[in-house]
Amino acid sequence: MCRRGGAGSGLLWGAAVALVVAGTGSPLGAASVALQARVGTEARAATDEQRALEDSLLTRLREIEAELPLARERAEAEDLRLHAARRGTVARTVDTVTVGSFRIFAEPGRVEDARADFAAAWTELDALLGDDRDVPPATFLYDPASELDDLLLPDGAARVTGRNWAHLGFDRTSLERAVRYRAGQAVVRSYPEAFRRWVGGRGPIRYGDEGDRFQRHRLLVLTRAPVAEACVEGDLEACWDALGLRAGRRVADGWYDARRLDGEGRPIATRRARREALATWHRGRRARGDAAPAGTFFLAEPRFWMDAIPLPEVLRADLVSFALEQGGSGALDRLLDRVPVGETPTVDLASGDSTVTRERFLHLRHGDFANEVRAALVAAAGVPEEELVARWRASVLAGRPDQRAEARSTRLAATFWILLFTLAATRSTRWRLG
Amino acid sequence: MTLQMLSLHWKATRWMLLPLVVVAFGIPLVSVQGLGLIQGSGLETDAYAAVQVMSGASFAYPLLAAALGILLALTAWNWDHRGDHVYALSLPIERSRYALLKFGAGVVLALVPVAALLAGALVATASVTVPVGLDAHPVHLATRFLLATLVVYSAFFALASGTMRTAVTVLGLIVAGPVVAELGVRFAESVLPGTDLASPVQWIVQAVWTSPGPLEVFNGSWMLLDV
Repeated sequence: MCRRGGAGSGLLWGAAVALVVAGTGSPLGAASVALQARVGTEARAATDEQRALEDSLLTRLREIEAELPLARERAEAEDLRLHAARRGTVARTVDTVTVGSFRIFAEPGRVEDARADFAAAWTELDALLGDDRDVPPATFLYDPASELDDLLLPDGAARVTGRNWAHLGFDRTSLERAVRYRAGQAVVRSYPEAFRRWVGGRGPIRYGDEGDRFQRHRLLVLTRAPVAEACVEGDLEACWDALGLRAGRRVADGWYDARRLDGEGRPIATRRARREALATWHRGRRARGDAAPAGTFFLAEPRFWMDAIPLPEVLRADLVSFALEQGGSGALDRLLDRVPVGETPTVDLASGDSTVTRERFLHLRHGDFANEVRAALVAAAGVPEEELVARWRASVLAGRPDQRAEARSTRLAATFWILLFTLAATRSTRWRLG
Repeated sequence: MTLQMLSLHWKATRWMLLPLVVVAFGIPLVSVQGLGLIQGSGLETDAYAAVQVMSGASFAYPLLAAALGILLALTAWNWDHRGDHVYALSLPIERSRYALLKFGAGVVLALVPVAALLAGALVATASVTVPVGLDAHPVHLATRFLLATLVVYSAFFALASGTMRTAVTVLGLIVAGPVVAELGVRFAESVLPGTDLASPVQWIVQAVWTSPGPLEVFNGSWMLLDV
């Protein structure tokens, strides 16, 4: 009996299966290959198309970027033209008037006003300066109603404008303030650098209107420092300290309450600059491994310790203005004769790659500055320092507005309107419609 | 008749007024929540932080005053509007006297939330230590609140005392008038180059919101503790 199957039949079967698979698979395989080839071609075509699109977009973007400055210039020019057309002017005529060492540009119709306003300010400054110094020369553009803002100013000239109320005219009071402020700036430019920084570039003329007095009051009361609170409560030495004028002060120890720390572990201070200055000091201290509360580095450079002073420049400048008011004629001369100047050495700094750079520092130790400025203020005012700061503190705290007067005017106005509306209601049959 | 007017107004407004009374009492108490001892430090809040906290809550008082004034004014004339004022006009009483009695009833009702606010303010100031340099102003705050409420109340009372048509016409003129005037001014400026005219909207806003305008009472300090 013959056995069927076996290796031969298995081979045959295997070959048959292979043939069938090949027979059926090859078209599929061919189709698959063809499909893949087609997909690949199409994918490459899509990629190429996409790339071409991207390239064209990039090209267009570069064209737009190139055109943008020109388009911006054209827009600005058109804006200026419309602005001039609205004002109905293209060319301006200004006259020049001289008041002491001041040169003032003004429209012909405003020359006399400019002369009068600047004469008052110049006289005030000249009186403060006395015989040893003159009011420095300065140039101004007198533009009360902001109508000359299309004029180009000469170098160093300052524009003086008043506050405008919805085209109803400019505010005369604000214009006079602006004149005095700008005139004072001419004197401030002659201050030594450290002193100028300490007063925040503010002029020597004190503003006495209600809003300014209230602002100073608020600044003193709301300064977030224990020394400022102590000053409000009557500690006069704390007032000097809060102004940054107490020698022997270990900066930031006592100026701010170390327990009042923000989320980054820095003392809370009202002004960001102070926070940053203190943060710089903290970092430097850690880097140096310095256990001392305030290192030489911090105390020697005004740019660090000056920003950390609790009371803001407005109040420091106000103390100076107050002292000058007390001292009268020649007070500013006496002050400027004694304010410290400091040294300005040029220091070589080695950066990370050993490149040496030079940087200019103002070198003035806090203790020296404090003592000398205090002495200068006393010389200017002509009163003992305790009396000077006591009077100044009292004048600042007296700046609180009379709330009863304010409330009275509000009550009157409100009562008037209530009565008026009530009258309208009682007579409503007269004016009803339908 | 006064008591009847008061009773009528109370009935018309009580369920809406009571929540406002509670709110008026609560705002001062909520406003001082951030004051006092700072948690974990043993420190008292300083003046600067106190003013910051106060200013955060100060917007609520004028809003409440305005809402109260409008509520009282509209509910005062609610019944009359339903009957087109026929019943009121048929009463043997002068129209002016009738309106005054109604107005007076509203004023009496306005005193309730004002008293609640004053009570809340007094409790709030008694419960915290006022920082150095600041003062508490509960009476000033309550007075301003009363005046603001009455100004709004009287304005809307006058408006609602007429017909709906009158009220809509007047409101429409108040809203549309400045807008039309502003558009006219801008058109004139565009047609006539070199013309620089005052803005009617700015002028009106300034006239209304600053002294001695009707809404001037809403300006100013609404802080319970202030410098």
